[in-house]
Formats: sequence, structure tokens, C-alpha cells
Amino acid sequence: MIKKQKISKRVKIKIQHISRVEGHVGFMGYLLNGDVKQAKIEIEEGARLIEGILIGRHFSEAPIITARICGICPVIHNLTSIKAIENALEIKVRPEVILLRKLLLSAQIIQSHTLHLFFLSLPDFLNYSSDLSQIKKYPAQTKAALDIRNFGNKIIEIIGGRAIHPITTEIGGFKKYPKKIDLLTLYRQAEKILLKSVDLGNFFKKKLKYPEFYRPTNFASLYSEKEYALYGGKIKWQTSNGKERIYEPEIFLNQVREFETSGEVVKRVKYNQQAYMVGALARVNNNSNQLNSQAKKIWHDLIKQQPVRNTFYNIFAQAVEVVHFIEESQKLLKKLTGLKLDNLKTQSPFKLKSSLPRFAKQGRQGLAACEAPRGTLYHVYEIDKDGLIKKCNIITPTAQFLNNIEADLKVWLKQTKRLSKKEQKKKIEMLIRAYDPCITCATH
Amino acid sequence: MLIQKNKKPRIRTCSLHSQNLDFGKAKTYIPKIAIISLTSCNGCQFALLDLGQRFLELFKKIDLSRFNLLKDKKFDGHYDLSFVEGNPTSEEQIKILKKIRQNSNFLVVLGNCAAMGGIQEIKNYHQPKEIIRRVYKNPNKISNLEIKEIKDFVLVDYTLPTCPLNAEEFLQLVYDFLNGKKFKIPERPVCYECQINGYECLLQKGQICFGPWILGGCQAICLKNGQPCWGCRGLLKEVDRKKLIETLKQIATEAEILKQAEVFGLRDEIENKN
Repeated sequence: MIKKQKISKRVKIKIQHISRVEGHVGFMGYLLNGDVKQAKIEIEEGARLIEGILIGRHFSEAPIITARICGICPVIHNLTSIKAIENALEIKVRPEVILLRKLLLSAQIIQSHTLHLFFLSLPDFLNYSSDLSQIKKYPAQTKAALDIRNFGNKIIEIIGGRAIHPITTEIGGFKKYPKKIDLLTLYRQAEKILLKSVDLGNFFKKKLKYPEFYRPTNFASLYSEKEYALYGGKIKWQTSNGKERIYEPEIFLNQVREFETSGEVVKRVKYNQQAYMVGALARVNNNSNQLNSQAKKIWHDLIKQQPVRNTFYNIFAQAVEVVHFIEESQKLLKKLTGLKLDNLKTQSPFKLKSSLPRFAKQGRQGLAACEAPRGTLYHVYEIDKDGLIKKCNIITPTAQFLNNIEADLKVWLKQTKRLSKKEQKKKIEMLIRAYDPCITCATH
Repeated sequence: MLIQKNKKPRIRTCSLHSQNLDFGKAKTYIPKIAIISLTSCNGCQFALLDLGQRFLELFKKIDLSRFNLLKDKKFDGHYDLSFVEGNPTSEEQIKILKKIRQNSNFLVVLGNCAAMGGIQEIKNYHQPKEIIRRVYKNPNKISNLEIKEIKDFVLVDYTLPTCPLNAEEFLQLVYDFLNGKKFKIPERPVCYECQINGYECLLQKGQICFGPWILGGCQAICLKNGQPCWGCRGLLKEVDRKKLIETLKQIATEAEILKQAEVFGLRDEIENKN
């Protein structure tokens, strides 16, 4: 126990098993005479050692195993892994395949964001302790959120074969291509879903009161000249004083360090010794001019000055991205329904066993960076001449922004210190949830 | 009585799903149900959420007393029916699991990790101490327990396998529980559903597919999508393990077959080391 001393006043705040978060996480902080001395996220998840178990296994298993890192964003792990291996083996895929993959990733963000926005984070803003009471109070919004989420899931199901842990995706392309009629059905649904998402976006624009908060930080996300980057590109780094730099992912990763602290399962990430933010807010702050039209409108209706330095607006950025990616899905579906996908079935793009010696005479390394719902995800593999994985490194968004949450929490603890302990705990949880941390990803 | 104290947990060889789960009488009250997650990808919980409206409708009939993903407050008393996803990777999680068992009338495990060890069990088949050193430079303080299934720690009343969970089976089980019916997954191989649906046989095409020996009920969803069965639902009750190996040896070496079986924790079932 902490002794109360005569001169100094020490306040300890401990939260265990924070609910409405993907995975198991707690918080530990203390203030001394009103100054914040510690604000620490405590990971309560066990290590599964995914990077370790992949070594010595055939590369074709990696996308299947890494999908299981996370149950809410399996598609992104699966596709980033596939892309990294394709890069290692210098495999070029057909443009149709890339369109389908982009559609999968868009759908992943739609379903993951909607779940977080409506079921994990919203109860904080509306002051409910459980979704179940919130659902009763807002039946229409609940239905809209479920419909939007179902739309995302449906896309993954039709292209990937299953909503969680996709089956059809493979190195070089797809084991099975979707039927045109199914894509057409999705395309027809998209219009209605878009309307619903705009309503929901407006709900997050008008109805929510975002707490006041300010802390300058660095933002990192993918950037592409052609589009709102998702499936690849360069890294855009926006510093805390607003300067922008663009790096190749390989160069960026050279400056990224994973730090191990004794006994902690997550390796926290810093870039050049600095904490940074990834995810919806970082992406929109970096690339808002590339948002699709309706999403852009909702964003600029509320945001007059960029970059936004209030973390709670990550929620709003997610709502805007849901609209953007539904618009994007609509575009992609339109393109895809105009193509002949049936022909692809017969052209198996890549026969693992026969093509391997041609591709990998000696060990090869491959890196891929894609935008996961929570930020940029990196997979790096080294593959030996027998097709076995020699090295593997996976850097997840949550591991990247953990340091940034803690830096925010230090400011936030001070700001909320006059509240009752119960209220303050609620506020701390609210900030942690605003990041949408995925602890199973972070630990993997 | 289902709660067994101070007694070594009953360890079953495999295929827990071979028996009926008799729920007794229909529930005239609103039963308390808990859903608990240990180490896993949490995908089985999301499979439940993916039921959407059908999952929400359940709440009219049950009291979801504990579900960390949706609720802040957790009820810590007695549950009529508990579901456990994932498996323990720390001493604390083992304690949580044992407490849940003590507090539950029925305990059902969800998904491949809880039922068979899941992907994290791959390390058991190699050198776990070596594997952790590939990931951490200072692994000394990081818990690296051998991955075991839930049934190795506590008595399990029923297993809903698959990676990820087949949520339809979950719904069926809960409604059978409410109506006091017996629940059972039919003892049929994956091939049964694969053939009725006319999917291409990948075993005949020369790929390692465990379909003929694995419990069906998944609608052969992998085969539908061109992926051979890697056995995430576990072996059928009566399986000639030697014949399984002999048959597959026409395609691959025994080492290759066993390595493939590692991905979803099937290898120890095949080798019958449980």
C-alpha cells in the first residue's frame, strides 16, 4: 500500500481488464502532488510467439497462420503476409487480383471501424456502461450500424470465402474467384449502405461531444500519389510541428526500433526515438485531400484546421473512413463487374511446387506495408532456397501507438485530476478506447 | 455434480463431441450466461457478433452476465452456462479458468484454440525455449507455458470446434439449452458435406486433406473455397489413425503429413499423445 506522507500526496490509479477492447489490457498510473509520474498501459495478454513458430515452416502456411493473429482484422494480416512473400519471391500479380484485394481491405476497415465506433467506443460518449442498454435506446442507429457491418462482412465472405479468416486468398492470386452475379448484388447494395453510412457519419459529426484535448504528436501512414493509400505506397511522416516527409517503407523501417522491456509481451515501437500515432486519424490528417467526395464533405464540415491534434477525433476519423471506404468499395465493385473474372479460374497464377526453384534460388527477403484498420502494418520475411521461412518480423499498429497513448495519458491524467476517481477511470478508459487498440495483434 | 473439486480433471482422449449434451429441463427462468476469452485471436467472439440481429435477439431470453467485449460490469457469481474461447498462456489465466468452472453448471469450449490448442500449439511440437528466443532477446520473464487444451485443466461439458467458431452451432446449442433439449453434432466426416455439395475432392488431386477423418458440420467451407481440410474440427470418434497415415502417405511423407497437422493442433490427436 502507498503511505500518505505529510508533504507529498500520492494518488494511484489502477484499472484491470478494461472492457470493450480487443484483447486483455489494463492501466496503471500515479500522480505525486498533482504531477503525473506514471501512466502505463499494462498488457494482460499472453504471448503466442507467432513470429517464432513460423520459422522453418513453408511460406505458403504463413498467410494462413498470421491471419489468426487477430479475429477482427485477419484479412489485413493475411494479405500483408501474402504481399511480403510475393515481394520476396518477385511474383507479379494480375491487376484484377489487386482490385479484389483492395476491395477486401476496404471491407475489413468498414467492418472493423463500425464495430469499434458503435459497439466499443460509442457507449463512452453516450454514457452507457454496456452496449445492451445503448442498443435499446438507439434501435435505428443500431440497425444501421449492423447493416453497414454486414455489408463489409458480406464482401469478405464473397471474395475471401468466409467473414473471419479468409480462405480463398493465396500467394499469386485467389484459389477461387467470386461470381459476377455476387459482385453485382454487392454493387447494388452499396448505394443504400452508403446512405446509411453518411447518416451515421453525420451522427458522429453532430451528436457527439468530443472532449477537449490537445497534444502535438507525429503521424505516420501510407501515402500514394494516386489514391487514399491502403494496399501499399510510401510512408508519410508528419512531425509534431507539421512538417511532412515521405520515405520508402524500407528506409522508414531502418529507423524504427522495437523496444523490449523486461517481462512485457509487446515490443513497443519508436521511430528515431519518438512516439507516433498511426490509424484513422493519422491517415485522414495525412491524406484528407484524397478522401472520396462524401467522406471529404463530412470531415471538412466539422474540421476547419488540420492536422487535428485531439486524439478523441480518431473516432470521428473512423466514421469518415467508413463512408470513404464504402464509396471506394462501390467504385471497385463497378470496375470488377465490368471485368471477366471467370477466365481467371483456369489460369492458376502460381503453382507453388513447380515455380519455387525458379523464384528462390537463394534466400530472399520481402517486405510489405498495408493499412490495417488501426494503422500501418508491416510484415517482413526471409525465405530460404527450400521455401522455408528463415526470418520473420511483424510490426503491428497497436505496438506502434502504445507509446503515444501513454504520452497522451500523461496529459489526460493531469487534465482530469479534479474528477472523482470513478469518473477519472472512465475518462482514462475512454481515451484508451479512442485509439481502438488491438491487444491480440500487439502481442501476437 | 459437474463441479469437481480437488480431483484431477477428467482427461478425454479426443472427440468430446461424440456424446450428447443433455441439458435436462427447459428453462423457465432467464439463465445467466458467460462468455470468457483466454489467449486467442478473439475471432470466435467476433463470429458471435457477426450473427448481428440474431445475436442481439438472444438477449431477450438470456442474461449475458459476463462478456468483456460488450459490457463493462461483470457478474462474478454463478453461471448456468459458460463459454470459454482460447487457452491459458499464464498462471493467472489458469486461475480464471478454474474459477469459471467452479462457478458454472455447464462449460462449453468455443473454437479450435480452446478445443485443440490452435496455432499457438505449434510451438509444442518444436523447441518452445528456442522459439521464444527467436522473438525476444530477454525472454526470461515472459510466460512460455506449454499450450494445453481446456479439457486438460478442467472438466468440459461440450466442445464446439472450428477455426473460427461456426456460430450456427453456437446458436443451436444455446436454443437447445433454453428448451431443455439434447445437443449433438452429427458424427459425420467433412467429406459428407463436401460430397453432397459437389465440391472438388482435393485428396484425389494429391493434396494433403484430412477431410475423411475429421468431424463435419462446417459445411466443408474450406473445400468449397479450394482449400484442403487441415482438421480444425478434430478427429471423428472412431478413427483408425494408422490408416489415416497410410492413406496420406500415398501423397506425402509421414513427416510432411504430421507437420501439416500441426497448424490446427491436430498432430497430438493423430499421434494420440493426449
